[in-house]
Amino acid sequence: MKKLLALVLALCLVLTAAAALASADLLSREGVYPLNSDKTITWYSQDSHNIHSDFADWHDSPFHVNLSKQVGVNIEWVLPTTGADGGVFTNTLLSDAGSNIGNLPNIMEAYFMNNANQYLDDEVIWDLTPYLEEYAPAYWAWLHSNPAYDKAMKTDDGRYYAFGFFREDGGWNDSYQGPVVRKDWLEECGLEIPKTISEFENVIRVFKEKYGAVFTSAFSPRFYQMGMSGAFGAYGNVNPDYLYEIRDGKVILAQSTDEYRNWLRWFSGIVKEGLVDTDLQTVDDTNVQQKVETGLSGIAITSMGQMNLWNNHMEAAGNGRPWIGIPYPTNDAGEIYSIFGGSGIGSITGVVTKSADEETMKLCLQVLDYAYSKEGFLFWNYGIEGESWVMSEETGLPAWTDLVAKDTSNDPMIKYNGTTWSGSCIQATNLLYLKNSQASIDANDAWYYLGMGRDTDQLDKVLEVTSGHKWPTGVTFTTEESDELDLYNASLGTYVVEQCTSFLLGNKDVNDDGLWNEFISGLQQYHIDRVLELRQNCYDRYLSR
Amino acid sequence: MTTVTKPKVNNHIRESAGSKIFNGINAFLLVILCVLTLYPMWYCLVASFTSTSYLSAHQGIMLIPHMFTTSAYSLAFTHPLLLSGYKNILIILLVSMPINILLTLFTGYFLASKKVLLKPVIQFLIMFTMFFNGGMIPIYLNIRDLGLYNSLWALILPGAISVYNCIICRTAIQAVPDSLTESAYLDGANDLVIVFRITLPLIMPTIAVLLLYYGVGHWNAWFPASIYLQDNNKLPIQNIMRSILIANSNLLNSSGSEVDRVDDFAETIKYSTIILTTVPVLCIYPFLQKYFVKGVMVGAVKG
Amino acid sequence: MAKQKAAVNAHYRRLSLGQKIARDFSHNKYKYLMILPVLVYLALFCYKPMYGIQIAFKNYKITRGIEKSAWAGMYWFEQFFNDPYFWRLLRNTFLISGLQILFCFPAPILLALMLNEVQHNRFKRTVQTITYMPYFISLVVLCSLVKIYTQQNGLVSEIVAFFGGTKQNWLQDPKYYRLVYILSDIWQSVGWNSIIYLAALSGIDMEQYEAARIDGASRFQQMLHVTLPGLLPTITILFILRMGSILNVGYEKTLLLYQPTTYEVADIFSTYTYRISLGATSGQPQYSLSTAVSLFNTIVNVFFLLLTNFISRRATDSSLF
Repeated sequence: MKKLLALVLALCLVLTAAAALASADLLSREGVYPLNSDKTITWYSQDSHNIHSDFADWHDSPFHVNLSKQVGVNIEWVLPTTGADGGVFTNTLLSDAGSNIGNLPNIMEAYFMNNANQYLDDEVIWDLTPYLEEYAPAYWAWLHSNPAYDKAMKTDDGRYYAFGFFREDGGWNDSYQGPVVRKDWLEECGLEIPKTISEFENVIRVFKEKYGAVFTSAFSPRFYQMGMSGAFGAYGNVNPDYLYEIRDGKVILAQSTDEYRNWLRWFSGIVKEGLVDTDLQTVDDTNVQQKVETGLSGIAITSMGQMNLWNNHMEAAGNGRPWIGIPYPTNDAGEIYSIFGGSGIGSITGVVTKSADEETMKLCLQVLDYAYSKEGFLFWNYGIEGESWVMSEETGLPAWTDLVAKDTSNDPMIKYNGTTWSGSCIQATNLLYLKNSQASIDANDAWYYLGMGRDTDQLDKVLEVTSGHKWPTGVTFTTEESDELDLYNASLGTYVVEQCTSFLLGNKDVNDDGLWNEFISGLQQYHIDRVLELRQNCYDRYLSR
Repeated sequence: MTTVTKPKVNNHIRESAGSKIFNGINAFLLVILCVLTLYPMWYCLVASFTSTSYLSAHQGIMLIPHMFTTSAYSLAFTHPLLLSGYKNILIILLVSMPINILLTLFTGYFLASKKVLLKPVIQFLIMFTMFFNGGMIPIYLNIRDLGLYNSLWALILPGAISVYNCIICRTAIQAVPDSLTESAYLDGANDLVIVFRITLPLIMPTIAVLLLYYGVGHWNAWFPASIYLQDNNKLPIQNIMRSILIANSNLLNSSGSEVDRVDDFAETIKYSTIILTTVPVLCIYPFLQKYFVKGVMVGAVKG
Repeated sequence: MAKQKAAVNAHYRRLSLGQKIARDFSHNKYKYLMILPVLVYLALFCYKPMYGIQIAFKNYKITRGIEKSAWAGMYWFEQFFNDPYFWRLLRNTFLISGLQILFCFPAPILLALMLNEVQHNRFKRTVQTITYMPYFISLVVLCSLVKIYTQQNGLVSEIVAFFGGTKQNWLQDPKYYRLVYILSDIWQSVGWNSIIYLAALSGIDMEQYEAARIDGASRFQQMLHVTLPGLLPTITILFILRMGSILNVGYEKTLLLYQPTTYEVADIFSTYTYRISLGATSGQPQYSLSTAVSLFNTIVNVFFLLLTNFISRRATDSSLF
């Protein structure tokens, strides 16, 4: 019953998103802002609202300066300096929590979720539960517009602590990378766009025979994030960040399943036949680009940005723009297995630290709340109306003015908006369409689970597959749990990655039951049972929130 | 010395022939080494002036720039922080190098001296810091406590001396003949006079090396600046270069969403930043180099 | 003369410790004056934060600070020693470091000796300037060059194929990983590291060469019997210092070069520490564990330093202390 309800809700959400991408159903707070406060708050953001590289610091940045004006509170931004590692910067900043909490910025946007309990218990951040409804009504309304949102933004015992990152359409866009193919070669060979894994393999084979080309992957997604294992019903990649899957309510190690083994069988098979780029492990984006442009590959995994670069270069060399995005392959029965998507919630959140006294904290809440109001949503995504955007009569959606559209610098919209990467805000779906070329948007649609299901009757199937398997965002561990998990994490990740790569590249034969069982039983040494047990407890608590 | 008992005249002839072969082989090997070293460096220079589209389609050896362009440099030069980056590193170098050299000279002199009662204790205290430190967090908190956070002093003071360099300095001072310092004592000079008037001129080659070591150390350092500074306009050039490099390679990895207009300079930018960070040091090096080519010591002992 | 000295010594021995110190201070007052700023520096910037070492023995929580975090005894050391990868990390770290000492350490000495034999001054300067340049290439770029050259169709393969070998990707083959690592190390640092030896060479008395020449020593013999002994103190000191950092193999280069297929030979302590602290993608950095690992590192390093120093003091005249 619960499942059905969630499904219906998600369906509604998807349908409304598809119907009217612009008008997220947000609470209007007209007349509330600016607050006209003479107070100054400090606001730290790890990597969410980086200033554009054209600016020396935030004083030059329209978004940062204008936000102060919009909310009517002086905001002193604290950002990692240019070239710094955001994570390291955050951790050193946080080390003041133990000695002098007054040094901490009032608002901090970083990864707090896993350890939220500890930050609350040690009084480093404010428990916002008693204040949210009154001081952040727009956010409160947003959270309660979808139970999944509400669930993700509190601890197991119901304490609210953070302002999260959401996508307007409720989907989580993992789909900026996926399979691509050279359309001109497909046509030359008289092939259709491959749908199933067998058709996919066939394209690789034909391209190899005809052009001597191999299957490759850009560096950033690389083979370990191919996501193609979905065609075998497997989740998980050769990446320590993607180890766990939920199946029928059970937390399991994705790489230990039979489905995953089938995927390894398939891939190591084509490796053995010489159909895969032998430099797969060491190439970086430029190398791959080189290979692709010299015709060494005609089918690959890449990202939107990379595909665009490939096409640009091929066009410059007089070869047209042959690369197009194609859907993730399905299994031969045609079922959609690509396991993407989820709740549309980011893992970076904004919290209010105890460096703010109660008064300041309440002010911070009002400032943060702006992003979730009808007016604030537009400002956070597009900047000031009339300056950087106008409402397009054609589409009924905001469109950039020449100020942004004609700006030739890299990624100009981050000068005016704060939602491009993450942070405590709602990212407009429209942004994706505003900032990319048509080919990239098409590719994205092909990769995106919503795109795959949009015209078919398989939408429910897609949603079930995609959102059911993912480790949810917003899970909070207890201090003891996270201590123990942190301890096992590094070595377990190394082990799984190392072993699976050996199988994947055929250095170890995945068909050999002895070797496979050795891998599985070897997991014991890395405390796999305990890790799964801890995660299961945590997941169960999350479900019953 | 080994005893060589061969007729002098013969020896002279054989020696010169052997010497020529020796010279020849030696020079040949060094030239090979230079080519091996130079080619990738040369490639960097050439590549930095080559257009990206040519570069990415190119394979094999490249000796001159193709489709000459300075776009990689103009991109670097339009960075709003480039000038302040150079200015900051200049300030850091000008302030810290005299401190570095002075303290290192003093430490080296102290460690090389004999008959000082507390020397073993102090030597231990100095050496100990070479191996043990408080770790990132306590050091960071210490910088904050001392009020150096977000100030260039946070990049200058914590690295005031390097124990490693002090040991090099001490080793050089130990090689200064005792007779020189002793006669100076007899003339009534104190240690401060001796260290500047006698020791320093004699170990100039080592001082030149130390200047280079400290200078390049400051020049290359980016990590301290990345955690101790908060204002972008205080960052030294290395951090700016790093941000240009990283911005061009990492944009693609960010999750959530992606942008088409990812900078297309990634490859050439790599090379132009190398050139921009190497050339200044390259210009200073020859001035220091002369000290250890000449052989200062020889003249002094003779005189 | 000798009698006088003995008398002074005897007198000195009779002094109390306080008197001795007072005498020492007045006698060496300028030396102490010189070292005073250094001691102040050490106290402020090195010793003051050293309380942080206790993190290794605590369950350090960033939210609690060092003082309020609970004691953990030897827990982190036990965890580290019991890690399934401990022995592999130890072996790899020692191997890479050992290879560096074997090949990367002598290379600049050889280069300095060769340069010393060059009589043409401009040639000498040019060679020097060229060879030290790669030192300024940032690791990121160096490693990406290495990756390009070691690809299946890269420069290395072309050369190997020319001599009749087979083309392959050299970097992802565990057999060749260390070779690539060491060679690129030498390439980058041989010129830079020879600078210190060249400085030492300029201190060798020219008269010694003349004397050797009169004795009829060939150029090679001069190199062996005059130049090398002249360098020996520097070599010894640098060698001892190098041994004192035997477990310090930086993580950056390894991170950029290693692949899951080469973890077996490439994974070292510093990359492990990186993964649990700086590179932690989820959860908090494990400061306690990583402090424990670096403390272990330090202790091993100091052991090797003392050992080398001891051997060196016995075998040669020069030693660190």
